[in-house]
Amino acid sequence: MRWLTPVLVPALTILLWSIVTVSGFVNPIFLPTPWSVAGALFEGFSSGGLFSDLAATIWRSLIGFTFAVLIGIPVGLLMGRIERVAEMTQSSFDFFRSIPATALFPVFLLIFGLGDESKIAIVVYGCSLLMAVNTFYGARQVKRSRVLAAKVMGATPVHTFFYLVIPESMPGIFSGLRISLSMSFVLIIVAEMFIGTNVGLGYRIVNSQMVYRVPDMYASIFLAGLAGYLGNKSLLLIERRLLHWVGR
Amino acid sequence: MIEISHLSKTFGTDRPVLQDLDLKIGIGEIVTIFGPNGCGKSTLLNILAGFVEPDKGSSVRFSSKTDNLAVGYVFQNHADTLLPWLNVRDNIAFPLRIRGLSSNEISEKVGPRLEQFRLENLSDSCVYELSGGQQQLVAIARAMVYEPDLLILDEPFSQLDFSVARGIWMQLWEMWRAEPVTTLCVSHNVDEAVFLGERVCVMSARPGRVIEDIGIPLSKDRSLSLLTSEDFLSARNRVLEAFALGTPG
Repeated sequence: MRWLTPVLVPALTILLWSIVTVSGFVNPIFLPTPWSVAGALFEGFSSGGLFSDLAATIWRSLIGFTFAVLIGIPVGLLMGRIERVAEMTQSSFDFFRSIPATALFPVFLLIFGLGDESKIAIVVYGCSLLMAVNTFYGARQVKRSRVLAAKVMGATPVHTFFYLVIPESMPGIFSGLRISLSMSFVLIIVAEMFIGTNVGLGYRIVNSQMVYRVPDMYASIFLAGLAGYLGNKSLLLIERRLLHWVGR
Repeated sequence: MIEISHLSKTFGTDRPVLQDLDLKIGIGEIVTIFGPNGCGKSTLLNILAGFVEPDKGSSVRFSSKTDNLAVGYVFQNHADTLLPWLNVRDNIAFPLRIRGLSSNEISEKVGPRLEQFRLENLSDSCVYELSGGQQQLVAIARAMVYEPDLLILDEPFSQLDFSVARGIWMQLWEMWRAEPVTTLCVSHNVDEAVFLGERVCVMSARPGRVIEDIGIPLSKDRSLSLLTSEDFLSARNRVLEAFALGTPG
C-alpha cells in the first residue's frame, strides 16, 4: 500500500476540485472541472498546438540552462577553490544575486531585442548565478584530509582538481542543476508571457486567459508544472545513480 | 637512514610543540612513537610528510635520497582519506594513476596488494560498504602500492575495536616480513606500540622530544601469543615507566 502514499495528495486535490466545481461552489469561469481541463489538454495535443508550445518552451529553457551550466560550474569551482578569486568576486556576486532576473527584462530587451535571444539571456543570467553559488558551496566541502592524503601520494594541484575537487563538488553541482533547471523553466515561461512571441507555454497561458479559454489556460499551467516536475525527477534519478556515495 | 636532529617547531610565536627532537631510523626499521596527547607526535609526522615546515636550525636528512622521498601515509581518519566514489581496486590504484602508469602496470601492482591484504573478494565493492578494519586495510594497501621509502602510520587503529586492530597488526607484520619498509608509527596504545615496533621512542609532554629510545627484544616473527610473554611485558613496563617520567602529573 506504500505506493499509494505519493498519489494520495494529488488524488484528494482532484477530488476536492471536482466537488467544488460540480457543486457550483466556484464559478467555472474561474475554475473549470478537471475533465474539461483534461479535454483541453487532449484537444491541445491532438491539434498539435500544445505540443509546439511545449517544445518551444523546453527548447528555449534547455539552451539557456546549458549556457548557464557551462558558465556557472567553472566560475563556482574557481571561487570555491581559489581564495583570492572568492574574495575578489564575492560582493559583486552577492549584489547580482540580489537582483531578480525578471527585473532585468527591459535591459535584455534593449540589448537582445524581442527574439528568443533575450528570453534565453534571462535564463543564462539567473541560472548561471544559481549554478555558480551551488558549485561554490560544493567545492568548499572538499575534505582537507583527502587533499593532504593525495598530496603525500604525489598528486599535483591538477590531479587534486580533477580527481578530488570535481567529484567532491558533485553534490553541490547537482543541487545547482536541479534548482537551475526548475528556474530556467520558470524564467522562460514568464519571459514568454511578457516578451513578444507567439509560441511557448507562457504565451499560451496568457493568451488563453485573455480570450477566456480558461480550461486551455489550466491545461497549459498543468503541463508546465508536469514538465518541470519530470525534469527535476530525471535529474534526481541521475544524481542517485551517479553520486551513489553521498550520505553513505 | 632517516636522521632527524634538533627538530623544533613552534606554532605562532610562543607555542613550541617540538623542541630539539633527535631521532634516527634505519632503512627497513619499524619505529613506534609513544607519548602523551599534544606532545607533537602528529606534528613530527606532518614534518616528515612535508605538510609542515620545521623551524630553522632543524635538520631532517634522508641518507639515500635527499629529495623526492616517497612517503606512504596512513591517516587516523581513514574513511576521510579514501575516495568514496571509487571502488576498492581504484582506491588502491589511485597513486599509480596519478603517476601516469598504464592500465597493465596498474593491474600488475594492485592485484598482489589486494591478495596481500585479503581484499580480492572486495575489489569491486565501494569503500563505504566496508567495515572500519577493511577500510584501514585499503588505506594501508594504497600507501604501500607505490613502494614508499617511508611508511607513516598515524594512530591507524585508534578508531577500530581491539580485536579488529590485532588482526591488522598481524597483517602488518606479514607485510613487513615480506617487504621491509622503513616505518614510523604513532600510537596511543602501549600494547600496539610495543607489538608493532622494533624500537619504541617515548616522547615527553609538550614541547615534545624523545626521552627514551627502547629496543624491543622480540623477533620479526611476531604472533599475538607474544602479548603475554615475559619479554613483551618487560618491554611494555619500560615504555610505561619512561612515559610516566616524561609526563608530569
